[in-house]
Amino acid sequence: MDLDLSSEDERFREEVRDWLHENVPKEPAPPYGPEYREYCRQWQRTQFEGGWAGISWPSEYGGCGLPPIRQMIWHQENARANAPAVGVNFVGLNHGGPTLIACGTEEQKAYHLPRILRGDIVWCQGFSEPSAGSDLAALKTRGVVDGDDLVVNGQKIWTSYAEHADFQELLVRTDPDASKHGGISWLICDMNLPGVEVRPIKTMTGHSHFSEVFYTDVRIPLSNMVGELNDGWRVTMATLSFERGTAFMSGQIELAKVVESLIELAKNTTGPDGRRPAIQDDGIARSLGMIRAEVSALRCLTLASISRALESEMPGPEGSITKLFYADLSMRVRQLALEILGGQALERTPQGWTNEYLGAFNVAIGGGTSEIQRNIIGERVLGLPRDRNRK
Amino acid sequence: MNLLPDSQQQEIIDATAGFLESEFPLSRLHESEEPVPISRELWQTMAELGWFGLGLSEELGGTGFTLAEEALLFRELGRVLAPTNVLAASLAVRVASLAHQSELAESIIGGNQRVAIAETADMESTLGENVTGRFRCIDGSDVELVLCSSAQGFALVTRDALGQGDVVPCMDEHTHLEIFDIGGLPALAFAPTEMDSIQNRGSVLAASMLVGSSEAARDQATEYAKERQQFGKPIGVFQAIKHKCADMASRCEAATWQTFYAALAVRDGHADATFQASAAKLLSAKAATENGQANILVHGGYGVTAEYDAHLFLKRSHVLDLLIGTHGEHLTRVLHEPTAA
Repeated sequence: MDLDLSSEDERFREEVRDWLHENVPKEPAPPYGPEYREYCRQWQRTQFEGGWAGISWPSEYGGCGLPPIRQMIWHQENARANAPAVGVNFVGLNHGGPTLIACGTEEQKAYHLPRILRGDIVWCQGFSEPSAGSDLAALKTRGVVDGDDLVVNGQKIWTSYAEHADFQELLVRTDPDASKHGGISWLICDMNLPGVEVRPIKTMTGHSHFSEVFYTDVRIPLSNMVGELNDGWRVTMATLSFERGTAFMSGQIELAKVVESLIELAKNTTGPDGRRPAIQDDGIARSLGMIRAEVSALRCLTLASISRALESEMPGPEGSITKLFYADLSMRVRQLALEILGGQALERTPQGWTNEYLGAFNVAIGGGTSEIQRNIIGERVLGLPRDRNRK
Repeated sequence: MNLLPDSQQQEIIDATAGFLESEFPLSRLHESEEPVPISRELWQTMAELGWFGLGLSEELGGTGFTLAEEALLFRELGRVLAPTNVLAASLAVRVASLAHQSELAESIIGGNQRVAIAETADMESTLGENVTGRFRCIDGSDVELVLCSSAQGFALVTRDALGQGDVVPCMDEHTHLEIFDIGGLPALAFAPTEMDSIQNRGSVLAASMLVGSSEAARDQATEYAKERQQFGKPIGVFQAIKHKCADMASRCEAATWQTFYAALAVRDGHADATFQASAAKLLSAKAATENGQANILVHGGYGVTAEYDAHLFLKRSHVLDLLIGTHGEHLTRVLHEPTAA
């Protein structure tokens, strides 16, 4: 047990810090629209040209091939430098690309991986459907083999950045007679194909973060299949282990910064007695203290995952504990912000705490709801029995 | 950077767990409704195992390990709801050593003098060369020394000098609770809070015991949920129970890694050591008390019976929670102390 970073790790941190100091964009990200896509892509391009794209991707596929500890240092320094979030490149970099690396053909890797790293193409996810959310394997979108193509009909939902995406990780049912998990295939869908229609969903924040996607006789070449026909569930498990294991690391690190700004807010906002700053209110001070301790524990959970990764390559089910803890804490941080703001919380500004509060519910739903994480913890960490009626 | 125990540390864990399983089975707590002090013989064995000086360097007469290994030991002690005397002895050894009372330190390390901890019970207590104030002494019915603890530090006094205190029935029937009103009693040795990060060490060790208790409660609830059948299936199938157990696991993980991190930050003298130690105490107290409560609820009616173990974890977690600083003190520290860079 030790907390020491090697001198190479320390040097890496300095290099990252120097490079970010020179290269982080001065202007803030536009909140949405094509300008946001361009901003994210340009930042990815800048990282690629600086030699920093794909920190944890294997070097044979153009990544930096660095261990998880360096990935954490990278995220820490990005947070410190106020570097832009990964934005529209989240899926490509964090689970689309890694899935291709794990399960894709050489041709698929050769086309997509360098383009993802350069920020040339944007990926999105096409997993959930209106009737297949937590019960993902109940998906109904059909794929029928016709010559060298799969003809796809159906609908996906909750697809983040669909309107910005060039490609999609798409799950379809290719054998309706097979078992629930046995008839699914994992496809790379070109979002510009005829028959693909994207309809943005306005969320409670007032913005359209995700969309519905409709497929009408969309012809996807069989060469775009990742893994074998009807073997898509195995590929999906790889995608989800990346999504639950490491994809949220930057968000977890970012949350510590959010808590520090919450403490600043409490120093600069008049408290419930109408006279003293909010931080001098006993109740608020206690809540802030506990949240600061909990965000520290979140950091330790991340460090524990990094420690485990020294011994095994694929993230284990413990990742669900980190995700659950992170989601719960994310919401409580914003609830506390509202408590500190009092009546001011009603006054909405585009990037203020009220918007963050309304947006924080996503963390407890996306990437597997907190209830699904609790099932995984119960069954795969603690070994509790599954419900045999659950198919 | 690696938070996982290495192979030598794993050996300490395994050896400790094996020893405690035979010497401190939970069944012992059903054989008596009174607190049973650790026997002289068992105390001597623990001394021979090197527990009381485990984290003290060999040149100071200790076993030569560090706070990290102590944290692993105390986690195991917490798991079997061992009395708090080992914690008291470990801190007392360091207090004596810091006060250059090497004979006293040696005597405690060797098991010749047994120790109990007494936590301040009022705001007026003062610790220094003399001890004044009201203190709640835990597990002190058959010891030679008492380690008084407050935000000012730790002071060691002889049990005899305290005379007869006010023995009060404890919420935890297996914990001996005695209240002393002390007026200007000279201390055998005193170490102020900051000296050698002594209070942070105490916080980490108490946190480690709380972690062990929270893990044992989690394991007990999980095992029960696998066996107990209702509606024709194990109750662990139902999400109402499964999710309670998952939340117990989540609280344990957060508390465990925060405590291990704190042990290393204090050991290595990091600038955020006080923050980390107090965060560990807060997180582990939350995990132990909330898991103690959940364990009772998972057991249903059996959970509130004296015959089952579930209530024992809850009660002991409240005792441990009382040690080395109040919630309010730790919350103030985590709000104002510097965090990790």
